[in-house]
Amino acid sequence: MKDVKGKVAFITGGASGMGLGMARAFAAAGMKVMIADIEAGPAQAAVDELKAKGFDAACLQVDVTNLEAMHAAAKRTVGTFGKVHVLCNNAGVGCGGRSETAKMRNWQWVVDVNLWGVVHGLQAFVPLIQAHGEGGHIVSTSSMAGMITIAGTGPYNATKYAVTGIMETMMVEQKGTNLGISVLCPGLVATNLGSSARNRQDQYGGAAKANPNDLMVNALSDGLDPDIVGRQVLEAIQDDQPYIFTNPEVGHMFESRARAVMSGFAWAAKCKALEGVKQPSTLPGV
Amino acid sequence: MKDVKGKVAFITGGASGMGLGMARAFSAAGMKIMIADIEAGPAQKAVDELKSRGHDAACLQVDVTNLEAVQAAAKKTVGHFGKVHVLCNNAGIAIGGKSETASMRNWHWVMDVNLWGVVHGLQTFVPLILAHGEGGHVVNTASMAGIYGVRGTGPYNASKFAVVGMTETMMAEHRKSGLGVSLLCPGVVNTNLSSSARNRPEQYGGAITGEKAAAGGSLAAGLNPDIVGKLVLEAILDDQPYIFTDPALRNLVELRNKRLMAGYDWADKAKALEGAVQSSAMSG
Repeated sequence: MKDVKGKVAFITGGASGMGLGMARAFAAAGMKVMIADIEAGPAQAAVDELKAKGFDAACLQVDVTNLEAMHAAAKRTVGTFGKVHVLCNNAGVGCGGRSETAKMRNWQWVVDVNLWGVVHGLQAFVPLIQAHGEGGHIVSTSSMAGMITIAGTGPYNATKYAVTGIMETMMVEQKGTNLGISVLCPGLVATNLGSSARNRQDQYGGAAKANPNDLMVNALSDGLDPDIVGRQVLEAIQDDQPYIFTNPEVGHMFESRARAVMSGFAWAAKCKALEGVKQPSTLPGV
Repeated sequence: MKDVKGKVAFITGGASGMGLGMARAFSAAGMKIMIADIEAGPAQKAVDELKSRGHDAACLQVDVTNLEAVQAAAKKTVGHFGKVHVLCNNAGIAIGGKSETASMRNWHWVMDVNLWGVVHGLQTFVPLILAHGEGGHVVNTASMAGIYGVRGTGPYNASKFAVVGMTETMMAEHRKSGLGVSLLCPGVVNTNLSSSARNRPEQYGGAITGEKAAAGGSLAAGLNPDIVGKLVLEAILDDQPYIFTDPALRNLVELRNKRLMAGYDWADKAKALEGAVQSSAMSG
């Protein structure tokens, strides 16, 4: 989208961190902003701030794990602003632990928010955006942990890889349409992701305070300013840029993953089981 | 694992396709096999076949979407064979459709089997394997669609990307634990994946049989799944992390890498990042 002025954005997790950064950047560029967040107080404070600057903004308390709540939020956003053009599936939680030993309740929490939250956003908003014909853009927040793996956060990484897969598939599927697709893969950004459990719903074990020794809490505190990420996301929407990496200096991490994958192909090319075997050498859907 | 003789393997989706290929290859190498499958008939048939060749095998009907059922199966496997050394989280299903328009019931079905099935296997068996101290190996079946987002199967790709992320994380975590970790990324293999819906449980909309069941096109031109079974055995013996069945598909991965690195080129020039102070914690 070259021209964002007057367009409407729906941002989940928009009350703080990168979501708030997006809301600030979008509003400053003349967009109307609907902030959707599980935290009603901070969402209202964000709207007050934007309105004080003369921008058009409103908020809704939404739990992205609830598909009906997302549909209701979409309806109310259309009621308030007429249309939606930009969807930012940004709400996410962090949880530590290994895939094989993490508590199943935490596993379900991180999947319900990070994966199903994105799916619910797509299901509720993509048909609405396509229907009005004015074009639009979807940005889903994955993570560097959706591209390369970091030991100690298996369930989190699984959800972020899934988001990357969803968005990369949509990039291929929506090519040539007027719906732009981006995946945001932040490195370390100074958000409150480390204290996600403050909002953990009862069915996943209830709210909990952040552990001050938590690896994630400490690592995030000296991360990038989330307002910069907000401005970068705006720039990506205007440039129709599919991959949004917030830290160009960590590209080498992906390169080392790519090398490991390629060494797998080198192994396959030499292994005994595949000797002399003929293959289709393509995939359906390529 | 250099020596697999006498070791025990638990294989989900072991009654057909690549799982059966693994069962055949493993048992031919002297392993004991527990075939776990949602289809009781084909599982028993597979056991009969292996036994007729003098191999040691048994089967259990297990729905991998049910954690308690997987835990019960582990208990029975230990009861039957004493230990488990190799876990193959291989059961999987395919559905077509885009992420934004697929029916939510199909979305849940593909996640419950392909993602939670793997999680349930890991939660149940990894502690058992680590506890006996004899070492072991975990093989998770993802897909090339877990590395490259092919069009038309968004939910399936999402489930397979998740398996890739989980398994790559375990590779990093288990470097020194005595547990080998491999990720199987098949290209086109001649399995009955396209007719997965023959086993779709009631809560996801029930079974579909016949032509309507086909999803993702025909796999008939694909690789013989028995070859994949032998390939997986070779990977376990070599402690090979990535198992690709079609070496030519490296082109797709290279294409994806190129697109992704173009994202770094864009970030290098993005106005928003000019002069930005970054944490150095990840750059080492």
